[in-house]
Amino acid sequence: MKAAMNKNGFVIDIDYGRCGNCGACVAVCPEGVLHLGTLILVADNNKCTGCKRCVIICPADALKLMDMTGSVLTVESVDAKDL
Amino acid sequence: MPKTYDVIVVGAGPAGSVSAKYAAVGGAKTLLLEKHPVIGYPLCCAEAISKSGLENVVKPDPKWIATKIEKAKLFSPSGKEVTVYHPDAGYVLERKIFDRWLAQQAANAGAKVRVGVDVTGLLRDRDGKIIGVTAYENGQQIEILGKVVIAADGIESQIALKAGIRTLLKPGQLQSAYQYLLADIDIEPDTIEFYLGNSVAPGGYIWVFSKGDGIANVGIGISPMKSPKKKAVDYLDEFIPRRFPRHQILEKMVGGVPSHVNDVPLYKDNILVVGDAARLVDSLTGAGIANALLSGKIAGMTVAEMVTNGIKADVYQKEFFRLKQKELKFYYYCRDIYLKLTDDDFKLIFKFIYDVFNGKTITAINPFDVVKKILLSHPRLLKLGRHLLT
Repeated sequence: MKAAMNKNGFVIDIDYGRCGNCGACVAVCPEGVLHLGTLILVADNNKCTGCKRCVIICPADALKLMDMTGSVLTVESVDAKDL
Repeated sequence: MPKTYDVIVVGAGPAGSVSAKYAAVGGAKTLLLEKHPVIGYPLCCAEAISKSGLENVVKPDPKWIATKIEKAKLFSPSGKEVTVYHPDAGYVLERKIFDRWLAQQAANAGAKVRVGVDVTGLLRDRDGKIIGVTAYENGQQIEILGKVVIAADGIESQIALKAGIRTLLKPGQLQSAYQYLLADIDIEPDTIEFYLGNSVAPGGYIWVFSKGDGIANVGIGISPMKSPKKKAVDYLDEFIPRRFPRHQILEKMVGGVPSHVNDVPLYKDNILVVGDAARLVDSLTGAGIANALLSGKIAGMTVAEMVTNGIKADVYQKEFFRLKQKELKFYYYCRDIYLKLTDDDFKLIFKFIYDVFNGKTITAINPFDVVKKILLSHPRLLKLGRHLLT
């Protein structure tokens, strides 16, 4: 399913086969992109600034951050600002 | 049904339900809201609690006690084992029943309880004062008026953040956790086990918490900062076949556990925050149920007094910090040290614990004392933890 793209071009792709609804991503998102509803996690991509914190924290490897070209932005190492 | 509640409690986990009970007992018109259609599920919890942590707030009831903990085993990275007997140490709970039982206590005390109500925001008046909440129920947006709001909305809390309380976490402040409920396993019914080591569980540990009867919560917490690529579940899946060649899986769950959090404010104006939403989790162990129960009790009592006697919400923070801040800060600094431990450091610590505790029976444990003695046992450890001793 193609998710709506925001002006920065970031898209959070949620793999619902892996997501365990733990809410860790919600706890770290500085922009309020993510909301854990009663059944599933939803992302409001318009607010995403591409900080990758949700991808870093997800225990289930359920999140992918993509830029406007559709490339997946991976986490190679972690920055001090995320500590 | 009153037009305006005295208090709206968002979230019917342990913190929320206990808040609602004490608010109602104190005479506040209380509404307890839960977004899920079921209280007590889903869960993200290893379910262990110390005796005092439980009994400070609630009388134990066999209905929701899976097992009584009588002994603990600690395993070093090289597999060295320390066994400590601690009769009456605590319990492993059956939270599917415990959480519902707590909500029942709130209902019996006079709180209104509604499930399937997803609170998404705060309602404000023209001056910006919070006068209630907005929520979704049966697909419709609704508004509920309340003089005070208790945010008990867990790890994924948004309510406190929307009130301007800085509950936002950085990835370094959460452990990545994964847990299975395993059946048909070889485990003693009264035992909890801990496995440490940088290749076992970097920045965290693996736990085996017996729930009696050949089943156990078997889980892991790691620091994602120490392992950005390899996930918690990968470490756990390596461990399980070694420890439990025979096992069946009854449940699996993922979680994020607050860790390394210090001094989150517990209130702002007429919003109080409790439990996981307030990040009241021991930084070293990940234990949160006891803090949820205690913060819920104090917050609920405070809200009742706010309504009847006009006291302010800061009373809650003052009282909770009076009881718990020293301990929370202590675990916070312990975590600093824990994250720096090499496997050689673990060896030193295990040697000390083995020499002092192995095979012994203890009746009480003072974590401050034990940690201090560990740090004093070797120059390298003292160097790491000198600041904790001053």
